[in-house]
Amino acid sequence: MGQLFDAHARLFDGLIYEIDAYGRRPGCDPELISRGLEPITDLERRGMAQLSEVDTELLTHKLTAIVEEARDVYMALSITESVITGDMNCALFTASGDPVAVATGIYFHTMLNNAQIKYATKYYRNDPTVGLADGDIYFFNDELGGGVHAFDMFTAMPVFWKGELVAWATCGGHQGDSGSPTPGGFNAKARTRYEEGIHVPMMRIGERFRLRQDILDFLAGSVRNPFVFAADLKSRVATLDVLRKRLLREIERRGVEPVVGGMRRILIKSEEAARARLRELTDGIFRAVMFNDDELGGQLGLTRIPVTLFKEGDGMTVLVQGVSPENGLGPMHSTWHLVRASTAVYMFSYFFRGLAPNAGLLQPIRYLVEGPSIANSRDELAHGMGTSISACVVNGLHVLGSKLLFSSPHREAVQAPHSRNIMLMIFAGENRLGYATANFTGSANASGQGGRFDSDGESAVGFYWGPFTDAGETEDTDARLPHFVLARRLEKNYHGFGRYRGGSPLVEISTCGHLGCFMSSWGSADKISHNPGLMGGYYGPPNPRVVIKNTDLFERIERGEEVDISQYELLTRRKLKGEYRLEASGQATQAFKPGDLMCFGLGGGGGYGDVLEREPERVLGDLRENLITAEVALKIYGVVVDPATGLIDSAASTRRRAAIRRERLRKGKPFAAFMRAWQRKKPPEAILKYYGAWPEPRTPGYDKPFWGLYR
Amino acid sequence: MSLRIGVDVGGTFTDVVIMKSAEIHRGKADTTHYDLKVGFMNAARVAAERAGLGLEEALRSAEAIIYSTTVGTNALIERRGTRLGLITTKGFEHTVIVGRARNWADGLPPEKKHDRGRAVRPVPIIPQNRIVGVQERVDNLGNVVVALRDDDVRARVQYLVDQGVRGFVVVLLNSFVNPAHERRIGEIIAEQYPECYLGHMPVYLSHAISPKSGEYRRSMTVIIDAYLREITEGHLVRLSDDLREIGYRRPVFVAKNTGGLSSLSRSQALHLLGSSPAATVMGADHIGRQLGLGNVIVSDVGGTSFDVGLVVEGRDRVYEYDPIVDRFRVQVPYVAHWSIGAGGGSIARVVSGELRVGPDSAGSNPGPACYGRGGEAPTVTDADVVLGYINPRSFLGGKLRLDPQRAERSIAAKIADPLGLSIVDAAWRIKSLIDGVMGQEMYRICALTSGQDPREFVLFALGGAGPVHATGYAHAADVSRVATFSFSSVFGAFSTLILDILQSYERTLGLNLYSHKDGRYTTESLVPLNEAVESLVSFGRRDMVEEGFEMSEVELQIDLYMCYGQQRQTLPVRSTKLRLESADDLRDLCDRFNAAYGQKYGIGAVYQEAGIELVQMRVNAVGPVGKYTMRRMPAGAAGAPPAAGTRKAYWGPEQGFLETPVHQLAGLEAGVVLDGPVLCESDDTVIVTPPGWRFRTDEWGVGWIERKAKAGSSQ
Repeated sequence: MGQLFDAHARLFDGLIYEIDAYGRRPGCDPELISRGLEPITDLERRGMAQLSEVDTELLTHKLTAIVEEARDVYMALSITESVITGDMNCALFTASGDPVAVATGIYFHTMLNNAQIKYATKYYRNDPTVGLADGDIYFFNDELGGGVHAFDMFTAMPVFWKGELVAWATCGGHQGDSGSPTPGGFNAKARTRYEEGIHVPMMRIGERFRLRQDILDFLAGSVRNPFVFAADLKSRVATLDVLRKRLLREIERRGVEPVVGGMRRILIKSEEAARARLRELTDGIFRAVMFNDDELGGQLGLTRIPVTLFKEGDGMTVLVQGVSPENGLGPMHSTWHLVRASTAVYMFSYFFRGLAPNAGLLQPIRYLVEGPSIANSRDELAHGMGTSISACVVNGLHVLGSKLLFSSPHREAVQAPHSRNIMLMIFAGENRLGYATANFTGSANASGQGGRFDSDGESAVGFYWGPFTDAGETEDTDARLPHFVLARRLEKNYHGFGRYRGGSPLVEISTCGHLGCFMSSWGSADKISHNPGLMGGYYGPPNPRVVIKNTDLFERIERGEEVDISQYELLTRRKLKGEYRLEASGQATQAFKPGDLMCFGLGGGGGYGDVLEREPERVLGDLRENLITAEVALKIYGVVVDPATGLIDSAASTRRRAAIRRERLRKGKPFAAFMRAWQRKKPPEAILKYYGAWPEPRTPGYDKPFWGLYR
Repeated sequence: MSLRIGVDVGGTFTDVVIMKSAEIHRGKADTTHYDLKVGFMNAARVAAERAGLGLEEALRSAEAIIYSTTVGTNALIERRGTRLGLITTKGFEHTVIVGRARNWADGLPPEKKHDRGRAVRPVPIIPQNRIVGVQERVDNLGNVVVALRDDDVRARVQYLVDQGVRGFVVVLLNSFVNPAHERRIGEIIAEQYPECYLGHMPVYLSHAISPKSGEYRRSMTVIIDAYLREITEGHLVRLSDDLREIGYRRPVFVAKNTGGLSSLSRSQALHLLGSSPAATVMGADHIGRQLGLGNVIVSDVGGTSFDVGLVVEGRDRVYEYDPIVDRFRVQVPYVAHWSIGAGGGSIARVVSGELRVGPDSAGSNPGPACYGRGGEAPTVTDADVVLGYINPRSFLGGKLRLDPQRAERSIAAKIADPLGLSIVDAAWRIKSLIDGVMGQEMYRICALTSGQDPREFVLFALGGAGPVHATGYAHAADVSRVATFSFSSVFGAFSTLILDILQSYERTLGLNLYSHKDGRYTTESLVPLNEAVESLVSFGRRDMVEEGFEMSEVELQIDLYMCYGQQRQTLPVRSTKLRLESADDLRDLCDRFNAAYGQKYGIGAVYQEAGIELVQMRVNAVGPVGKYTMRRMPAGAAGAPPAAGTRKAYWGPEQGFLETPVHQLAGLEAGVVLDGPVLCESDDTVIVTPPGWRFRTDEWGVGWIERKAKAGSSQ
């Protein structure tokens, strides 16, 4: 695989690394899933020969414009909350099933749909009981066949030109309900896939450009919100129609060979561009270790997800090894293909910043994900929250990528990861206009960005998974959702500190209207953050679920009292009566009544650099904008602000920072001494139950430092 | 003698068009940013002289002066507006800072919109320390969930006064449904700071300015309007006073981005932003109708930007309902126009072994390399010079001599050598790429954004570089007919003269028209619907009477914005009646919505079973004004007149350089037909007609560039 890899890495015998940890099953072929780009077809080869560089550039623009239009159409027509706010994608694929142009939403969705398309081509096209024809509409949501989780549902349409399959169009996104035991879809307590609702592998649901009513009835009848489901499926058909028509028009204008060849050429150019960028970077081995907490079997448990990056020449290997084993107690189990696809979120937006995002960019990267493990798990398990695990790989990779890019011409991409400490609220009930609803809300699609090498991270800039997601407006939420939003604020002390701090999240605090409603939640990083800082910056804070039941909020308001509704004020002052719960995000559905409060947000980004190097004026600015408290200014940043004038006391600040530095030196010790002390540390056994062997889950007795390599 | 004056104050030039007894006369002068009036007077003097008048005589005899200005745009860019405070619902004080999270990308060019890692929000118009929350909450049905307290309001107002604010913007959640709390805050401020005393401060209540759902967009609408009001009003009042001193006795009218004009006293500052490109679209519509053209793509290529607008038969499709102003999304029904960074000054470079052109521009100073003002970056204009399209000796009527050697050296060093190409090949690639990018943008807007087929459109090529590149970007966008005009370079000012007086009123409704629960037309919505129409119509009556119209002269247009149950996106349907009386009226309305929806998204997407909702309503009151009418020119000798000269021009790798005929536009009569390749020059542009196209003039004075394969014309 490369000299560095061969010299320093060892794969365990008997474990699986380059493919999903389950075999062929109905509607699913792991071998297809793990493939890279398909071989070049004759049609593509002929087309490529006809193209100039300018032709390819213009075709890239055109295909991008087409998928972006389709994205806008889908978002405009859908009534599914998460799709409206951008948790979706639209894409054009080659006839062989490789994604060429993507508009999203969510980058990783597109890196997942290829397997189902390839499946239909390989197994159904020539099957006389199925076949593949112009006007077919396909549906799929089975995570084992190459999807994410059952709530992410996609449609696909083959594109034919004069009887020949020339491309595929897809669109899809997160649906509100999958027919699982939990309203709103996510079943945080599922232990097997059979507790997560319907699983549909690639299935034809329409012919001649129309949905089949019997299949639509079956699908819509399998979920709690058939009205929303059917409306969304109709909007997808409209979207696919747009994609298909526009692509055919291009073929009509340019000819089939240049368009088909151009699609392939775009993929090749992306791969070439990715390799060219890799060649600009220094070779080396980079390693990060991420931890996850979860309520496993009703109690908290710790799991581990290390990432090692081998960069050699124009290629890279991502090695996910030493991962905690499967536990079978919850839905936090990822798959090999989800790990690979998830990394697109970092690679497309940051590492390969500026390059056309498609499958070609990941072609130089080899993914080795140890399985069976929580990162590459087997088929019978619940996978609904596998993204919690795959995200740990992504954020570990984000840290490693930033270190790799630091001494390169691409330093502008160096920053701490965007917050992935998700606490997502799920609702169900009748809205104030009489419509039945069940979904998760995208209204807090506003997590904090990580601190950058030259500037603070922006606050509230979208969903971790979706670079282009929108957080909507509360007046719209009022009209559409059953709950009632009381506040939506950037929270205090809710980001990672650093020379350049992370961005803060928007935290929404909701209660229910007079009809009441149901709420549940989903997420991870409740006690252990998934948002590392960089170059000495603090982690973004963990993000547990905060619920306050049976409050006297409305009684106080009736009495004319001032009530400050922000998570920080509610938790630190506790002025409201009620039951305060700080708990794991993944919880079952509960009835809420007026005055019951739930806080939710998607976490703050990590900081960049040493807090003591932050300019005092920036600290004061944070204080004035209520992003930090005076206590943080003093204790963390060492900046003394005169409470009388609100100005910095420069002399006192200098003294305070000097004192902190002295304290740091006092605590310092030689590396060997540190290691001796560190290796004696061990978490309580109670939370290591599902961790595997300590400290290396796969190797009892392994005595190297946890960041050590295997040779 | 009837005389009207149209003015378009741009960033570089101020254009004036005088329409005197159906003749138009052009004037152009540098924009004088220190005092915009000076540039206006200079340009007006030139136009007046061409009309055979003195400046004062022209102003005294003018029936109307219509003014399109960038004064607000400049103040917004430089953040020079009024120091405002914002009072909003407590708990939502970060709304205008955070926007909808994704707002960081609003107003950015495409390549920056996708660069989340480098996201930077715009400088806020009202900073966080001047935003306060009052404890109150109203739900979407207008129910008061949390009552407002006077003492709370007074304390917040006092805080803002202590911060030195000079005006208050009040935006409370759902005030467009129930404005009681906003009104109470207005009353409290009026009690504390009455109008009769010095230091009175204006209060802008959101429900009165933009009674529409969406607290972020409504906030930004009211904030920007309030922020620019003082500076815009000051400028226009001073201008009015100065014109009055010279002898102009009528009101100054302002062009608005909503596609009409109004007198100063009935205008909002926000409506003046982007009024010139909006007017240009309306002007193209007017000209297109006279030429029998229902569908027109309007393109304007300047030095830095490529602006596109659409005229579509069935006007409702050319509006943009949540346009972006600066970096903020607002609720103004803008006449839609789009802009990308592409033009004569666009800089070419090689990035990672690939050619890129734009979006940044060399501007006019230093400008393209061939300007000889110190610019070293190769630009589109440099490529045009190398390819022989632009005559270096007669650029801008000979006022600026271009240096072709500098253009060649620049392209050689920055493009040709790194890519291993000849200079000409490199120049050709620059032209091909920028034409392709502009064409793609045009295609995107026409076909992808607006759902129209570009093959059914005629392209208007405006701006100095428009006719140079028009066939290139027309080809890329699938358009085969291009129209050019003798007044292309002042089309914005010309367009102000065809605008009607227009007042628009909007509000959010949220009424169900067809129930998804029991599949019936909900006649109980008729009363609130008719009440809402009547209320907006009454505003129209009030304002149009103030503008001097009899109501019998005024056209009332009622647009109803509808969607299927719970959708956010709406489509407008124009009501054919002032009052709806029955289920049959609702059925007719819903049928027309279904038809429009099916046309735009495919018949398979129509879904009446989901219910149909009326989300929003708009009433336009239109007072017609006299407009320019094109006149036929006497026919000249048909065929191809002899060229004034020739020069070598490059027409692609297959044909290479050809000795190409050059004509002077001013000398071409109606009925001329010239086969490409041919170049037709005027003092402000060159009409480039490549091989495979032809150029002809018609009896209206329009210069047509048409693809030869597509024979025939609509004339």
